[in-house]
Amino acid sequence: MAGVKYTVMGQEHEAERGASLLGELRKHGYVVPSLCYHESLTAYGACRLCLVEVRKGKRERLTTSCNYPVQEGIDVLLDTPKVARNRRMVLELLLAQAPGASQPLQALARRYGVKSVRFPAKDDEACILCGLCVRVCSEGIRAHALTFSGRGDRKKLGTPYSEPGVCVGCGSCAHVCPTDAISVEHDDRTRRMWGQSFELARCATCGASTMPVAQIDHVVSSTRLSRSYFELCDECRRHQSVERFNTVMGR
Amino acid sequence: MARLTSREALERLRAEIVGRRDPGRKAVAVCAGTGCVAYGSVKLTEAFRGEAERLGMDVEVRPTGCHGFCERGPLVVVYPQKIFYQRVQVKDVGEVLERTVGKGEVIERLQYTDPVSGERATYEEEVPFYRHQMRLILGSNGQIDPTSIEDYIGIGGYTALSKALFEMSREEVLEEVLAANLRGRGGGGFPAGVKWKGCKEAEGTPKYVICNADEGDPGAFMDRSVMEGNPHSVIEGMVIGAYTIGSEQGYIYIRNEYPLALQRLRIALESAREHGLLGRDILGSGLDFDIRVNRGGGAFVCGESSALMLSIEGEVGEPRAKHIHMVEAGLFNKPTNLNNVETWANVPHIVNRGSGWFCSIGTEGSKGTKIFSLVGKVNNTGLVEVPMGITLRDIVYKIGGGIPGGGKFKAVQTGGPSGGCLPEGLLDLPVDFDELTRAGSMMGSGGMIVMDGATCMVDVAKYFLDFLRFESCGKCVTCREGLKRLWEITDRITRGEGREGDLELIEELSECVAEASLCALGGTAPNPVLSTVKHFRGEYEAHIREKKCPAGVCKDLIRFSIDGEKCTGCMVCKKKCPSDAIIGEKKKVHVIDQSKCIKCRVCYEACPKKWAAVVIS
Amino acid sequence: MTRRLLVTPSRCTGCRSCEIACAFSHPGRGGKPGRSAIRTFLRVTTDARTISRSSARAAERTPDVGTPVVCLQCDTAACVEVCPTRALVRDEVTGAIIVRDSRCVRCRTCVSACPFGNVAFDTGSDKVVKCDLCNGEPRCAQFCPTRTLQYI
Repeated sequence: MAGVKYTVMGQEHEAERGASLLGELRKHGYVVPSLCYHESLTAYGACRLCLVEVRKGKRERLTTSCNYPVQEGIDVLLDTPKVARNRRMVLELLLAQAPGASQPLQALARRYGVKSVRFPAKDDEACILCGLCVRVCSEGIRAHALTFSGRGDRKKLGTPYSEPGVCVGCGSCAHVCPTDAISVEHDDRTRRMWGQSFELARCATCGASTMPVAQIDHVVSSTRLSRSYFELCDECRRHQSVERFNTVMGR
Repeated sequence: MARLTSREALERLRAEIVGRRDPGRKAVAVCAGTGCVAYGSVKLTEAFRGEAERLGMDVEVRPTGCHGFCERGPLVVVYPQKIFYQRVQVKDVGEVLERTVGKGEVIERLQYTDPVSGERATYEEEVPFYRHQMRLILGSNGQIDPTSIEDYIGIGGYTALSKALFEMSREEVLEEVLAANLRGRGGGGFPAGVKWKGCKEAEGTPKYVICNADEGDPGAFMDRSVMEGNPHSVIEGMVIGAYTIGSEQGYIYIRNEYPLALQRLRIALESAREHGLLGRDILGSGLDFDIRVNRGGGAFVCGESSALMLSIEGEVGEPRAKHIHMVEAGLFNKPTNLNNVETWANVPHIVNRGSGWFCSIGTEGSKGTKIFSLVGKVNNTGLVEVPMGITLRDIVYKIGGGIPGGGKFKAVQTGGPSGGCLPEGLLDLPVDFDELTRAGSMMGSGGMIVMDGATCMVDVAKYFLDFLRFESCGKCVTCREGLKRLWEITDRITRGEGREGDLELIEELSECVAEASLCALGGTAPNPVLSTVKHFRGEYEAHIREKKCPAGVCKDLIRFSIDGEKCTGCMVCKKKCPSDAIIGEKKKVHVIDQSKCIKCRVCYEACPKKWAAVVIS
Repeated sequence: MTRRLLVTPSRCTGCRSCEIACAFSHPGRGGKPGRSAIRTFLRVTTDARTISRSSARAAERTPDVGTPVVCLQCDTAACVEVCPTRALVRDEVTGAIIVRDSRCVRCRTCVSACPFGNVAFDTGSDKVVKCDLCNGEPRCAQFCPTRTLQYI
């Protein structure tokens, strides 16, 4: 492990060179807000909330910490006046962009001193275009079902050409979304999201709904698991393993 | 055509070309840059060829690259005397051939006449527009047919490449470029030598060199003219760069909206390959290097280096934070050196004439020349190449010929959407990377827009914000949302809905967008609005407090009416009005029906100057 | 040498103290007891057949009728292999395979991957449930009255 030494407001720490500064700061318990960062996905730098000031040699710069690779000898400053005023403005812009995401944003806004939103906010939008759903779908699940289209203030999130397509219905996008902007509907037998209806597979023993069939297809084709793993729910699989054990042990 | 497999072979070819060309030979050079082509120079060229044949004249008709004086196109230069003609029409062809080519007579009406002094210029150097320029890069345009590699070789092309490959080590070339302090001409002004060094020393192969030909600034066409007029100069620069850095693959990323430049580049690349000046074992030196052309898809943001590289990779052109520099991990995550077209075109000159010579031109911090596209409310619009350090005033007045119609200078906008507007008081600023940045503007890629009293600075700010908010990639909140909101505020101001506190909000929001955005697009986007608020605050306040547009531009704040004392009832405006808003009969005073008026200004422009009866209030 | 949780089913009385201990030491939503990572299945003897059922109403309860099932902390774990975000990793100290919750995206592939059904998902707390050996002090072993579960 190539370790580098750096300081945070004078306090010494060590990290692997090139590690995400935000990840490291959080490991040590420092509080730095963010909305578009996820530990297991590449840093994107979209929300601009994780701003810090980094002093390197004689240069001091304001930078996002999620995509800043830790380097030897840097001194990191949190919550400076420059950081604070930029963060406030960013939150004000976010509140204006996504009034439908008020719940998580309001908490941050209160905490970081946003007094009022001076820009007109029109509709009920909740998406802040943070890209987490796109990244989890392409880097994690690797279904590549979500994308950004358009550019600038016309940028939108959705499935390619806004048509239902290769989504497997796993719901990871909804989980990582920081503003609950993705709706997933369930009933006993189906899951509905992104304009698609996913039939849920059923446990061969007890009939409980497990995962979408499409997701099973995807996992089977992209891992070494055979379809037989997905026949039973976890509960019935436990039963089955107990049965087998008892049989083997002659109980 | 046999490949040149040694520098001696290149020199032999050069000698042969020069020997073939009689310097006293009669020739007509017709500018074939995009501007003059739009004026009909292709037809003009055909007319010259046809007429010369008909007359049985032995004269070479040569279409050339952009001569720069776009205001006066089509431009024609007659050799060997180098007599300069402007605004040449097809109907003039016969006379030019018979009198000028045939007898050496100068045709007065085709000469450039100075609007103030009345002096006529016979030769290009006498034209004030050219006299104050230093056309190191653009100067060759007029001498060559850009589709002919032999023309380029004939004027000394590829001498620098040959010198670099056979007389200099890679380190020596690097030293020269570093010593010359060649700063990026694309807008960043970053020292090219430092980039080259970083890339050369970076770990990893393969290494790439890229030419950024995405020129997206509205009103900028410097790179276009270099590529259309002298594509080989760019290629030669890139090969020298590749040799120094250790690259075998280069890319030219050119915006798709430059079809002529693209065509000329492709021809040049092909002929360079045919001649062994590109591809495998260049000139027998052992260097392998080739160039691939990638076309842009119409996004300004893809002129940003990290977005450009993603675009080449086939990804969406969204910039990334550059804590890890592109020279260490760029295209395909490999060490990559990216430079602008004009930067590459400077390289052969530096290698041929040395860094000492290059440093003798320009200022302490900004060496060499810079090409500007001088446009707007100025008499002589076109491309100008000047030594760094010349003042803005000299460019606008000595070269540009001042404001047309005797108007008053109001501002000059430099640096495109990343730059700011500078008022009259700052006209004596020298053209220099750091000076312009300190003044709140930027050199940028070289756009220079001159504005007079009929330009509304709020409207200018709104224009640039509108451009940028649509061109923003949309990734980071500050740029995407910030520019949208800045536009909303300036839009409200232009519609008479400005509020107290708007200017303070503009300043506060601009600071955030500039400080916290991910890339330089967002980082420099507030410059137009900030510089206009700073230097023309009174104009903003007039819009906000008095709901007036002093320049008479913002439609919601102006009113067109006809002065009854001046109107002679000539009916010209009435006929031209597109919405039938003018009421009146012959010889009777006309009246504008405000309910129908769409403020298009046609009546204002149409009313004969001697009466100037249309009033904007 | 990493310690392991040893299960000796012959001693199990089916009291299910282990389940309670696990649930209470891994609170779910609102601090309420979460879903247990260990499950004890009771065998009910009726007629001559032996079937295992998790029902508490067993016809006859005698010692040697319970079978606790808990994560085997497999050397080559299927759950670790299929996790798309590497949220499941082996803890260096305890040797247990743990879920790094901040990396988990709730795709639930691990739930299907475990051949023994030892990975579950608690919809109430929206978390993956699996044995983490309580960071080196397994509660189930502490509370087991018959030494069916031992941390050795």
